[in-house]
Amino acid sequence: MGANTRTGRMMPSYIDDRLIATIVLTAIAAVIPLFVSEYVRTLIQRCLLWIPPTFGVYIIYSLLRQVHFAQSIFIGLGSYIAAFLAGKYFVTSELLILLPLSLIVSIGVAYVLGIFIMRRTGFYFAIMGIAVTMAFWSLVYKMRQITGGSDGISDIKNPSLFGIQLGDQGLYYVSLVVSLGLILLMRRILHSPFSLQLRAISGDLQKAESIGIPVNGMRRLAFIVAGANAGVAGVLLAFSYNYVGPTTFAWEFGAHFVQAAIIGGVNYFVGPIVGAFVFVGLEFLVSTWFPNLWEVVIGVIVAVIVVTVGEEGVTGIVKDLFGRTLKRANLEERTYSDGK
Amino acid sequence: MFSMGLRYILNALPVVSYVILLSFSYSFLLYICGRVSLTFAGIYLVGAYATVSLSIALMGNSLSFAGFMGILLLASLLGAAMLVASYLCFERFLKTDVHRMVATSSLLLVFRGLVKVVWGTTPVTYSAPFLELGVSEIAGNIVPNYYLFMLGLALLLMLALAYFLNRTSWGMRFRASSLDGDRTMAQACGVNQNLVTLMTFAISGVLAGLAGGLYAPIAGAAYGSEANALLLAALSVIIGGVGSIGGAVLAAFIVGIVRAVAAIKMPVLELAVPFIIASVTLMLRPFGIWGKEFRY
Repeated sequence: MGANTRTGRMMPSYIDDRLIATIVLTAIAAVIPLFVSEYVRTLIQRCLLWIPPTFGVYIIYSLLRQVHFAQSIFIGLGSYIAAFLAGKYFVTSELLILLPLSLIVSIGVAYVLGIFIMRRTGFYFAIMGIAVTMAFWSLVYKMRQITGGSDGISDIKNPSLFGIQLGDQGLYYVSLVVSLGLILLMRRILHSPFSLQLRAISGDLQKAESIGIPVNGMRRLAFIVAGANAGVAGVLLAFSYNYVGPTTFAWEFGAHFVQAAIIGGVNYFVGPIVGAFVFVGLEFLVSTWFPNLWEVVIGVIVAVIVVTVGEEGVTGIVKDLFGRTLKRANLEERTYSDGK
Repeated sequence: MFSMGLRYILNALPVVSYVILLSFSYSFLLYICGRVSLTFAGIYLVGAYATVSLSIALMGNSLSFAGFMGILLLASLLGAAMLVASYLCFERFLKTDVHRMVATSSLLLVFRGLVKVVWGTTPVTYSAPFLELGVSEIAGNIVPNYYLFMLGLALLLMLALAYFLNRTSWGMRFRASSLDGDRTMAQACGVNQNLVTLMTFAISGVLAGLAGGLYAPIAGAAYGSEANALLLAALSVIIGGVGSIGGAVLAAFIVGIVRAVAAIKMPVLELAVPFIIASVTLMLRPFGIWGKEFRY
């Protein structure tokens, strides 16, 4: 298969503009810590770690048309696993143990919670999600002996990988690799029969049931995928913030991922990535000048985006503005078409 | 044993009363307009802060109970004005439920942020009305009169709303436009839908603002208490059923009392218990104890 028919250039078909864009962006992310200050590097690392949980929200939103406020549970679980094992009761700081452990715990908790939360859709799901985050919050807040209560756990040492102690820069590259790996995994998932089944469920429940899709099981599986993403990111976020407190479980923290996904635009696969960067960047910029106002500013922005462009988000706006340039890059990979 | 149970119930009364008002504020909007809106928790927070600030500014240490009632009225009117304004400027442009949930949760964060800017994060208290009313004794338990006043006011308002909905001609128009009735048909029969929606938002705002104002003398106005309020009220709607006044009262009693017992016996599970009750309710009766089957 010689020529790539879409671009009309003589290239093998597996090389297209999207792949080139991915490689270029990854290369930029890989070399940028060599040129910027430590502070900016931490900020970019945080953006990278915000991507997987935002993808969780994105999957539930774009495939199932539900709002997933409960992402903070899994971030919190991952963070507290890291804080307990690598900080308070120092057992191990080996990432090869922490990350799979957090993954398993997140999947287990998501499986159990999915039975209760995913029972009904619409506002029932959203409210039950908020309720679960608050239940976890009060649990962590009140178990003062174990979790440190509202003081949380600080003083978390940097992790090690293959027995080698990682520096701050090493942590950055681990975050980059993990978040890139999860993005590629999500891309694979979105092009799988699983995603088609979820879309069928959100399109027409009765039809989906009658052609034999296990509706409840599939919904729960989507919830598990979203939670696993957040759980993995939670471990690295704990090392990045160097502090874990009950606010990790607070419902507004979960709502921030919904806001990030909406800002990025849930119609596009790049939406969560754009959203995570825009959200964390905005939070940083606004809170530099007006420390108390960043929630207000971001809330207003999200509200305006929902009213004006709906699911298109910043990605859609940029695409409209620079459509001709981006058309060649073909970034507009639609994952949801509004049937109603 | 009985007196212990009675003590728990009496201690739970303030939470029960404010949850009755707040959960009906939410479910009324959902029932009549079919609109999900989380803004009510923001109104609750603003109502609490407004009551405390106004009381301190206007009355200081010299409390008159009539003055406090006036301030409560102001707080509920402020809540109504804010909810109606948020509907007119913003919420009426939201077309689907998913949009409404995302946008109103952002709006709630905006309210929260504004409260943080105006009042800061330190809780403010004004407990004079609570102390002024004194205590009375019920079956050997000492109970502040303010608790009984709160419950009485909440139940009275619920009765008034039930009368309004079921016995007046305007109430009939509301029911015709609700999830029980048919909005388009009601419009065709000459019921002004814009007016019904506006009035629904206003009533919902009154209830939310009043809930905040009433509870403020006991717990104070605290930044962050809106999450608790949102949780308890919304779970009560899930437990009691959408649009049912009896369900709102019943669910508020269940949630409030069980939470009060849990707060003393197992403080760790204080907020997990309402969630567990809601989960069990969804399994046994998916539309709530008192609810009817709607499209939600």
